[in-house]
Formats: sequence, structure tokens, C-alpha cells
Amino acid sequence: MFRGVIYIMEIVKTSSTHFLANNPNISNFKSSMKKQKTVLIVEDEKSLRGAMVDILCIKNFIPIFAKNGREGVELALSRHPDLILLDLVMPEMDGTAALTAIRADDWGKNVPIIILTNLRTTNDQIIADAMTHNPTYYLVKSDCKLHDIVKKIEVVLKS
Amino acid sequence: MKQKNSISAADDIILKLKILAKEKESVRRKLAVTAAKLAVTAEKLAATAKEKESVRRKLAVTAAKLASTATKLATTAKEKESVRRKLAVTAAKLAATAEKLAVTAKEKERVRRKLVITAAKLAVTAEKLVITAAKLAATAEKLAIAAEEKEGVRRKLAITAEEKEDVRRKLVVIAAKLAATAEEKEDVRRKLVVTAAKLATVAEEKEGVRRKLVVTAEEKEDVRRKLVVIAQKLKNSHETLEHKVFERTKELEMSRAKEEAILLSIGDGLLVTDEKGNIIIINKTAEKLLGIKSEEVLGKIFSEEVVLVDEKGVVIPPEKHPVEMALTGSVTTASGPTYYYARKDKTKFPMAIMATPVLLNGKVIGTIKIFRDITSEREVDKAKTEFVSLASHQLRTPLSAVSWYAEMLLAGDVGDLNEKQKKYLDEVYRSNQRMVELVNALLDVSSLELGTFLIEPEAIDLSKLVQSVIDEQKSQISAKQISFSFLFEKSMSKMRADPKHIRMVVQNILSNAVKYTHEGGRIKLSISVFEKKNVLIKLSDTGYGIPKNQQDKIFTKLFRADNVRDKDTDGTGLGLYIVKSIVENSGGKVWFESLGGKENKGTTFYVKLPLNGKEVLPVSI
Repeated sequence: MFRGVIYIMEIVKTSSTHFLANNPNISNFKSSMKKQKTVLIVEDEKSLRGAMVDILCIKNFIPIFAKNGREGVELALSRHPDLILLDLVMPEMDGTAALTAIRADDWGKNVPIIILTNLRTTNDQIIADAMTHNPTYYLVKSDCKLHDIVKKIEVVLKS
Repeated sequence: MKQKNSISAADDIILKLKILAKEKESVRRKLAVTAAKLAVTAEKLAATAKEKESVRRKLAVTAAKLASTATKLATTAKEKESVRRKLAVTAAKLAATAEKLAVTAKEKERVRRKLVITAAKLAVTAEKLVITAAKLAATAEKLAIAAEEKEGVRRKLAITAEEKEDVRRKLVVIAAKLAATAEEKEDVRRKLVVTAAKLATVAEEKEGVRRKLVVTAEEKEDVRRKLVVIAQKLKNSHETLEHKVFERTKELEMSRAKEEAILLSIGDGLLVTDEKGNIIIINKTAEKLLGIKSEEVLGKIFSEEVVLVDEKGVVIPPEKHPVEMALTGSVTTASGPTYYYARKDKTKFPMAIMATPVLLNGKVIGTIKIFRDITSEREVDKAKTEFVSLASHQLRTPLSAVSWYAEMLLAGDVGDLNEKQKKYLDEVYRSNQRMVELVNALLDVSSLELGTFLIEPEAIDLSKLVQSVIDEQKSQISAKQISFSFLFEKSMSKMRADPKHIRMVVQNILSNAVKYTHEGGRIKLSISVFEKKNVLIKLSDTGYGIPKNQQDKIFTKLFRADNVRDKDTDGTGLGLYIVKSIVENSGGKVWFESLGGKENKGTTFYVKLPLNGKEVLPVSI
């Protein structure tokens, strides 16, 4: 089993996680084989996005990703992931607008969406606005470990 | 024999002489000794005399000095005496002046009192004069009316008398005719004559009455003339009064114009309404701000002329206008949420409004409204908030990346690390976590200092909130094997507070307690109702304590006590500064007790917060 993990990581590193993650053939194949859950990551920051894609691969999820809100909404509505991790401050379309657009969709109104932000939770208008659009949960990136995020995803998907 | 005798006598004499010589010698010697002694004595005396002379000289010098000192002293004494005398004279003069002043003051007081009394009397007299004038005027009027009536009666009587005279004449004619007609008629005539005579008498009597009436009329005329004179006098004094009133009015108008000019020149918008809300004063700034002309709005209802809207452009109902609230509530109101004024050209601007009721004898007689355009202030506020928000986001993003990748490496997600690699990476991870904490604390501080830290109280369950903070720090507490207890007063109902801020307060004081308590120490946290209106959070530990000489600095920004600086390098020196800022902004108080410097005696922190959120007291006039 340990080897298996290393093997997958090698694929991720060499063939680019992006290709793997966003290749519908591979992910569909995987989900049909192991009933893996698809998680859409909407994050403009490459380094953070890479870390999330990697840990989700390692933890047997199928990560797909988008670099801004607009792409995020398109992917969400076309691929119907099991869960969405959504950043708030992004170019082109911000997280709040993306959240509003997804929640306006028939499928999207029930999909679990976890807001992942680095804004201050104590006094931020952007968070306050986003919270009015019914996200499932929100986490502050710098305050939580990557493994905590995975745990939260598992808890949300189970319930 | 004789020779023998003479020899023996000679011998005798020689012997005697020898004895005498010896005696003389002895005497001489004694004398010599005495002379020597005398010489010694003389010498001693001479020495003594010299000493005495020297002493005498010294004494003479001393005496001379004393004499000089005495002279000086005498001089000084004289001078002093002279100064004293002068002072005495001055004192006497001052006393005299004081007395005179006292007398003058008394006189002034007396004069002032007299003036006051005179003024009072004058006022009374003036009042009486007014009353008398009024009465006189009334009497004059009545008399004039009465005189007119009497004149009418007199005229009527005069007419009657004339008519009677006429009748009498006719009767005389008839009598003459009758006399001429018959003797019988003579009798009648006589009777008629008698009658006529009687009538004449009656006529005379009437005439008398008429005359008397004329006399009365004359008297009336006299009174009337006197009244005219009085009326003239009254008219004169009335004119004087009017003149005075005119002058005083002019003065008052001048000062009113001055006050109005001051009011109109105020840099903020100023609007004054009467008790019905009608605009009575509007200054230039207000005209400019509202885009209206004073001629257009004076005398009109304020809330109809000035349309207030909220951020979304929804019109604020008149009863919620600060002016209306000031009129009905009789207290100063400042618009709570930001109101915008919608100009006629559809543009709008945010206003800071302060409306104050004008009270006279406890009755609202109008309102004063001061307002200004706060567009630029709002922009600055927005910029500040955006800065903190952006700084937070930009600073924490790379920190998150470092943290996450280090975490995956440490967890062995991408393969095993050797011990040294693990140790180094752990350092990287922990330093990064410290950086995250520092950034968070700095952002909180800048937010507090930029004034973008809004207190938004809501109903919260304090017990739950505190429990969640404890849960967050449970791992650190158990890692140090600290015995921890949490007591919560169950009777406490929900309180109103800003949950984010309360959380920060509890987080900070609890993490301090955990950080600065030895392994195996004790921490006690309790929450209770305090002085009925407050909640008291009490947190005591058995930690390092705070040195006595640094206790006054403990809430200062970036301050860290000496005794913990070496033991723990993680602290930011911002936690307690944040705690104090939040607690005081929320209307509460924070303090502590610590047996300073005595290690392991620990510290107890107290946080007092109002149960009903921040108390906002209305400003009453």
C-alpha cells in the first residue's frame, strides 16, 4: 500500500497534477473503480492550489481545480463535483460571486461548499458578505493544517 | 692683768666684730639671695608686665574692633529703625488706604443698594404710571362719553324749553282771543292765564334747570380740558418711551444680526427649525451642501424639504429623521447608521447629523441640526479597512504555502525523512506558525488602531464560546500536564457581546496562562455574574507571575516581561494590548493580581464585561 502511494505521487509529479486532475477520462475511471469523491478546488494561488491537489490525491480524492471564480463556476456546473473548496479573493470573478452563481443553479444549491480564505475572520466585510450566500463551512488557511482540511471534507461528505 | 683684760676685751671685741662680720656676711648673703630672688621676681614681673602689655594691646585691638562693630551695629540699628519707621509709615498709609477703600466699597455698596432700590422703585413707579395712565385714559374716555351725553340732554332740554315757550305764547294768544270772545270765557281765560302763569313758572323752572345744566356742562368742559392736558402729557411720555424702545430695539437688532452672522458663517451645515419642524434658519454651508436656497425653504417643514435615504437609496421615514427624533424625544440624536441626503439632482452624499432640541423652560421650542458631508472620511475608513484586509490576505498566503508543504513533508506524505531532516523541518514549521501568529496579532493591532474594529454585539452563549476556546488549546494544556478547571455560573443568562472579540480575549489570556505555567501547574477559569450587570471572567494560574516593577507596563504594546522573555521566545507582546483594547472598547475592564517576581505564585486575570453589550447612553440636555 505504501508503494502504491509513492507510485501515484510519481504520476502526479511527472505528468502534472493539473493534467491528471482535470482529465475527465482518468478521474471518471478512478471514481468508477473506487467510488472516489471529486473535489473542486477554486484557488488562484498556484502554490496553495498545488498543495491541495497533492494532498487530495494522496488521500484518495479526485481533485479538479480552477484558477478563478469564473472557471470555478463553469467546472462546477459541468462536472458536478461532490464538494467545492472555494477561495474568496480571486481575479476575474471573486469567491462570493462564484458562490452566488453556483447556489443559483438547481444542482448547485445543495452542493457542499467550504470557503477557504486567508482574510481576517474577526472583522471582514468580504467574509460577512460571503456568509450570507449559505456556504457549508468556512476555514482560514493559515489557521488550519492541510490534514484538518481533509478531515473537514471527509466529515462534510459523510453527513 | 689690765693688759690681759684689755687683750681679752679686744679679743672679745674682735670676736664680737667677727661675729658681727659673720652676721653681716650672713645678712649680706641673705640680702644677696633676697636680691637674687628679687631680681628673678623683677624679671618675672617684667615678663608678666610684657605679657600683660601684649594682652592689653590685644584687648585694645579687640576693644577697637568691638567699638567699630558697635558703631556699625549702631548704624545698622539706625538704618533698621529708619526702615522700620518707613515701613510703619507705609503700613499706616496702607491701612488708611485699605480703610478708605473699605469705606469706599461700603459707600459703593450702599449706593449700589440705593440704586437697586431706586431702580425697583422706579420700576414700580413706572408700572404705576402705566396703570394710572391707563386708568386716566379710561376715565377720560368715560368722561368724554358722559359729557357728550349731557350735552345731548342739554340740547334736548333747550329744545323742549323753546317748544314750551312757543306753547305759552300760543296760549297767551288763545287767552287773548278767548278774553275777547266772552265773559264766560273770561273765567276760562283767567284760568287759562293762571294756567299760563303756571306754565310760565314751569317754563321758568325748566329754564333754571337748563341753566344749571349749562353750568354742569361747563364744569364738564373744564374737566375735559384738564383731561386733554393729562392726555397730552401722557402722549409726551409715551413718545419718550417709544423712542427708548426704538433705540433698544435697534441695539437688540444689531446684536441679533451679529449672532446670526456668526451662526450663518459656521463651517458645518446648520439648520434651525421651530417646534413644528419649520425651517427658520439655514446657513450658507447648509445651502451649499443641500443644494437649496434659503428663500426656497424658509418656513417650510424640514422633513419635507430634506430627503434622507439610506445606503441603498431607500427613503428614511420622517419620524426617523434626527430632527424629528430631537423634537419628539427631547434628546440629542446623532444619526446612527449613515444617512445620505438625496439632492434634487439625484446625487447623494453621506451625512453626519447631530440634532439637538432647543429647550425653554423644559419645553421644546425648536431644534438645531449640525451636519457635514463625510464622503472623504468614509473613503478614508474604507481605504483603511481594505488595507488591513489586503495585508492580511497577502501576508498569510505565502505563510500558508510554507506551512502546508512542511506539514506534508513532516507527515511523511511524500516519503520518510531522516531524524535530522525532520528536526530541521519542524523548526521551519514552528517558526512559520509563529510568523502566522505574529501577522495575525499585528493585523488585529493595526485594525484596532485604525479604528476599523467594529464592536457588533449579539446574543451569545458565553459558556459554549469559552468551551470552544478551551478545546482549541486542550492539546497544549495536556502536553504540559497542567490541571485545568472551568467553572461556569449556570444562572447566567445569555449575554450580549461581539463573539469574535470575546473569543480573542479569552484566547489570549488562556494561551498566556498555558504558555507561562510550568509543567504540572494549575489553571482555574471561572465565569460569574458580577455586580448584576456584568460578567466576570477570572483566570488564575500557578505560573511565573509578573515582576512587580513591570506590572504597570504589562498592557503596553510589544512589552514582554523579563522573566518570560528568556523562557519563552514565542510571545508577540501584543496579546494583552489587544485584550485591553477590546475590553475597553466594549465598555469593560481588565486587571490582574500577581505576587510579582515570586516565581510560581502565579497570576490571576480578571475581565469584566457588560452583560448587555456596550452601554450607549443617550445625551440629555
